[in-house]
Amino acid sequence: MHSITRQGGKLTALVRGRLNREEADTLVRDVESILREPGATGRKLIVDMSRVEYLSSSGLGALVRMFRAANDVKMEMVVCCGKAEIRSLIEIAGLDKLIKLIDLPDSE
Amino acid sequence: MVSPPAFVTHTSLMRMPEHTAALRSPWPRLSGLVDGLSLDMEDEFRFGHTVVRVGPNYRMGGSIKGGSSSIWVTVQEAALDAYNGWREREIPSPGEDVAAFTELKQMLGAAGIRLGSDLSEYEPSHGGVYGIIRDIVRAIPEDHFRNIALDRIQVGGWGPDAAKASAYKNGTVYIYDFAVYGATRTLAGLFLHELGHAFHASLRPERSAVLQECHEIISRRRTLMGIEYLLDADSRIVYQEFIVEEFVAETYLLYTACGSALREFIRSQPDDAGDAWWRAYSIYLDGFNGTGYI
Repeated sequence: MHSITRQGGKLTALVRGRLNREEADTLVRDVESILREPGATGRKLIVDMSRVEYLSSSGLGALVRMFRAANDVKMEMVVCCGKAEIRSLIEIAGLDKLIKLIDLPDSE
Repeated sequence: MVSPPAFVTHTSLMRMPEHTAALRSPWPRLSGLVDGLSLDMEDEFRFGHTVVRVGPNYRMGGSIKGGSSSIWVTVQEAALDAYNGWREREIPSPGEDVAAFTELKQMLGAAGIRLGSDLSEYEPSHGGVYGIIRDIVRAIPEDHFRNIALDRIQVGGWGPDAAKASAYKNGTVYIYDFAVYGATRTLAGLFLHELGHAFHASLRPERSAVLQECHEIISRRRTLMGIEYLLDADSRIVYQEFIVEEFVAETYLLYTACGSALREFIRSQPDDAGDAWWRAYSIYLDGFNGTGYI
């Protein structure tokens, strides 16, 4: 489950629960759709994973797809990991070289 | 279509072992062939997750630093059968293989490369992993190993990059537990990818500059080649698109494991991207002293 909010130049996708294959596809579709809207872009896309209970490999793939979509419209993407386990999963896939990771949503 | 220029001439063509050459094709699904194995489950197993019994319950989770810092979720008993069915087909045998270890150590030693960590060399539980790495090393000319920036290969354990599947640092390739206890395909992909970093570290600055220039063109044209291991193929393309070091390492993997598929891919690229690809390819060809891969 997720919600997307816009405040100032920030677009925040708040993800809750399990980020499995189905939810990952829906999340990417929704974020891409908003990023495609005329004038909808800002400076930063924050993917807030602090309420994610389970991050699947499809979820990791979703982060990469959102990163590219954000980059295409010149937005920086930041992932708020929340739990150390979420950060570890992103790091083990090597995605920390690509995507900026933070611990708390309000630290950006 | 861009044909290979005259400077791309192989003196010989070698073949990687089948478990590694399989990387050129999409990863065949076992879901539907193994009882109870769903697509979601298979994705997680491919990413190093296991199923364990904890008292009366069953839990699925990842093998990060031995599992202590992973996210574990409750699953049904049938998930354990599905995991075991998947594991039988995808993961190297856990049994001992002293002969493979000894042969691998001898081959690497002949090129001046150590095998193992400062604490230990042979690890009995790594079983078939030594055989897989030995098969790959056998398919790489010894003089190539002498020329790349590689002093040591550590199989198993953890290292300077705490939560990683594998790494290359200061002349050492680290194949961490995540890769050792995971799928053969992922192990083979990660091993060759890390050798690619060692190759990159050995290049003269002007050669590195050429690869960087090629990467700029190839990335701008979005004509990267992705294969599926650890992550899906599209994710691996994005990974290379934005980080030149990863492009160089992944191209090494493509050059060795998927040689003919890479050349076919390059031939299908538009003019400027195709030219950049062949220039990059020729640097690997020189690095292998004229040897290419089927």
